[in-house]
Amino acid sequence: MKRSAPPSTEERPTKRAHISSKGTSLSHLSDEVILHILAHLDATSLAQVQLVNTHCLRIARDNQLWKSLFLRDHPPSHLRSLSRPAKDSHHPHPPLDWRWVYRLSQNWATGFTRSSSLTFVSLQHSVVPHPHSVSDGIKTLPFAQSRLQLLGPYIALSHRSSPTARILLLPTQGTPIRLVGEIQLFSGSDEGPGTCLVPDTATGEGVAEWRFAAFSQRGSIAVFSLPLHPPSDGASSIGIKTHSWIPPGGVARQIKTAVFHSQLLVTLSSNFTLHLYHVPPSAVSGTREVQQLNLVHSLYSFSSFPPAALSLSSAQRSKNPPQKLPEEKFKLTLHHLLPAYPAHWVPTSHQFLITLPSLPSHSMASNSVLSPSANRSQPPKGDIVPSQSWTVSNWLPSALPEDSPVGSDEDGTGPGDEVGKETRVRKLRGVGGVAGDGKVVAVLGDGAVNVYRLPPRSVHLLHASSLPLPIPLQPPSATTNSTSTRAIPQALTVHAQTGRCIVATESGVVVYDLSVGGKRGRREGVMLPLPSGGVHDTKLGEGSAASSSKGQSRRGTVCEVRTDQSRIVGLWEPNAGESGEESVMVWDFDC
Amino acid sequence: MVTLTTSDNETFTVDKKVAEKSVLIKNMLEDVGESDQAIPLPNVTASVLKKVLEWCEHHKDDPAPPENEDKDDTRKRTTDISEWDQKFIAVDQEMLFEIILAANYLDIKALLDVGCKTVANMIKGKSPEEIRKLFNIVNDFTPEEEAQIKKENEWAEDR
Repeated sequence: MKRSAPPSTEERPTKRAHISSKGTSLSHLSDEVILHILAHLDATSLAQVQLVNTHCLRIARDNQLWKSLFLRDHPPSHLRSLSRPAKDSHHPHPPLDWRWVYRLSQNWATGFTRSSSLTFVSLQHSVVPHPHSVSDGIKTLPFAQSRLQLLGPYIALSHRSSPTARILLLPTQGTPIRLVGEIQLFSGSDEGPGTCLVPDTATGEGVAEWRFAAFSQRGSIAVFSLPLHPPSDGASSIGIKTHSWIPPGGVARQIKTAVFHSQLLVTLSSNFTLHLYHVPPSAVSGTREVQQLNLVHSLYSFSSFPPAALSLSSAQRSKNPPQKLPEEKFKLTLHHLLPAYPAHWVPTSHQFLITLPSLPSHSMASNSVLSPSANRSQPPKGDIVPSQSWTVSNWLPSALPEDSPVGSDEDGTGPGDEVGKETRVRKLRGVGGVAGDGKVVAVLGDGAVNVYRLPPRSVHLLHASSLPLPIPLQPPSATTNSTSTRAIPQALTVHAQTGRCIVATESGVVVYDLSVGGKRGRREGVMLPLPSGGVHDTKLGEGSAASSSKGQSRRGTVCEVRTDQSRIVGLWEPNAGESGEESVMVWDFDC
Repeated sequence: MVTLTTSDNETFTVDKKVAEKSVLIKNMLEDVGESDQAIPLPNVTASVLKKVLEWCEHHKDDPAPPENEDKDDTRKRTTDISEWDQKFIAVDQEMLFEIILAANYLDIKALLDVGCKTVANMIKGKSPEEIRKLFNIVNDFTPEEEAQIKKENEWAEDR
């Protein structure tokens, strides 16, 4: 390449005078002044400036410039999501590439992604009842299925009728989605498909591997560990570590849903009992033998309705790795939907503070192997205290007309003027999925994503916004109750770190940025269509000849979504009653 | 009153308030104290200083910019140039850059902003080739390099 410019250290304005022969021009300005000019441009213009010449390229990629652009154009809350494990363990704190930070936020905002999918044909659906076919008149809501999980560079996927789970590697710039492992979830009397997959949501510096838990039909627990760094391109399989446990007291009821964070696993059984388990770090207990899991606490249902969603997070404010602290604190949030007369639903939430004593993990592991009975008599002293509950004190009486404006969002004024209206929450008629973290809960209902905040010093849920779905939904009507449940998407996820909410629909996924919701930002979601059968589209199990059956002919829906800082993964499955294969879909914003 | 001498040896006598729009001159006056001596401005020609002083005169009663201007700076938009400033800055390109250089040298933040925003508005919406033509810049990329940069910037394309 030809470079007329001298090395950057010597590039002072006077030395660049030769670029232009006449008068004073852009080339006379110092880099500092040119940066000042560029700070007034948008990313699109800056992309053009970078193509002008090498000097412009260098200045238009200045890290500080992009930092100021990011702070100008995007909410700083997006930065929180970037506290992920360092890519390279030798350089735990590489300088933040602000152009990359900007690009990521911009792509989320504009919906620019590289999407790909992988279709499975090897597994045949046996006739299993569709999990979303909600029958009329049932008082409790169905549990959202949890077969798909996003674990750093991996996707874990279980099947409703298969005893194995698949481990896939997410696509990168050059490689498509790749199957790197297929594991038998349970053996012996527990053999069979799992009821759900639950990821260890602890991330950060203390994390040595990616873990997820699976639960057998009769309630046994297995924890799987995937290596922190995925294998290089050539390798087709990875080392997966397995630890299986039988719950204390033997096999119990089916586990419907669970949350897993660091050393705490909280399960919700089919009889609505919550069990809190202390899971030793698997780095220490590297054996495959069956161990006893330490039951920390059991919580029996205090309401006749199970939580529709659970969330568990670390309550530690400190940035130290958790294992160095004397104890671990967790925040468990239960999100309920309570029935309200007649045939409506209202949200409530309850929060618990859990303190787990940090025992030396090796002694716990050895204890449980050597003398399980002694261990059972002296369980670790875990502590659980209810910290807060939020309810709706004053939902709108049903005498009001159906479509009377409620809350601040119906008239488009945003959540800024909630004062005085905070306790007025509209009952939801047709509800779909529920998702929440410790701060917000999102309920799909009545054609919108209804977002409620859990204010720290209030007993009332705060109705933050109703974000309209950009797809036409069948309005719920009394006569077509059974079909209306199909129209309301079931799958949504709230990502606490990024403050984003993802809703899965028949035609794609919709992204809402809750951190810019309301006055400042756009309330309408960004719609990402299903990946079309493109170059990245690969079929598994049939070789190359299979790509013809792809496309619009398949009718189905994205039934489950997961997200992290830069990706959305979705599980597509054919509609109930239709034949077809399921697909894993990936929308990658880091492109 | 303050006397200023330009690089081409012309002198301007202006109100102290006007001259102190320039942080450089303000600091000099503070350092030197009361003095009848002319302040030399070796980096500014008479024609440019005349223009700059015209701006200072018009803006002499503007409130001082806030001390902590970092945050403010990043939020500025290109479109918010006042009508008077727009007319003021409607000059040929050479003069525009001279004003920017002078504003930078004399440390007149608001005038520098006006100049930089004007240049930014000229760049906006233009192709690389148009920008090169506009500012008389020579392309020193190989086709491969250009293709590579284009690929890296796909996300920022106008859609």
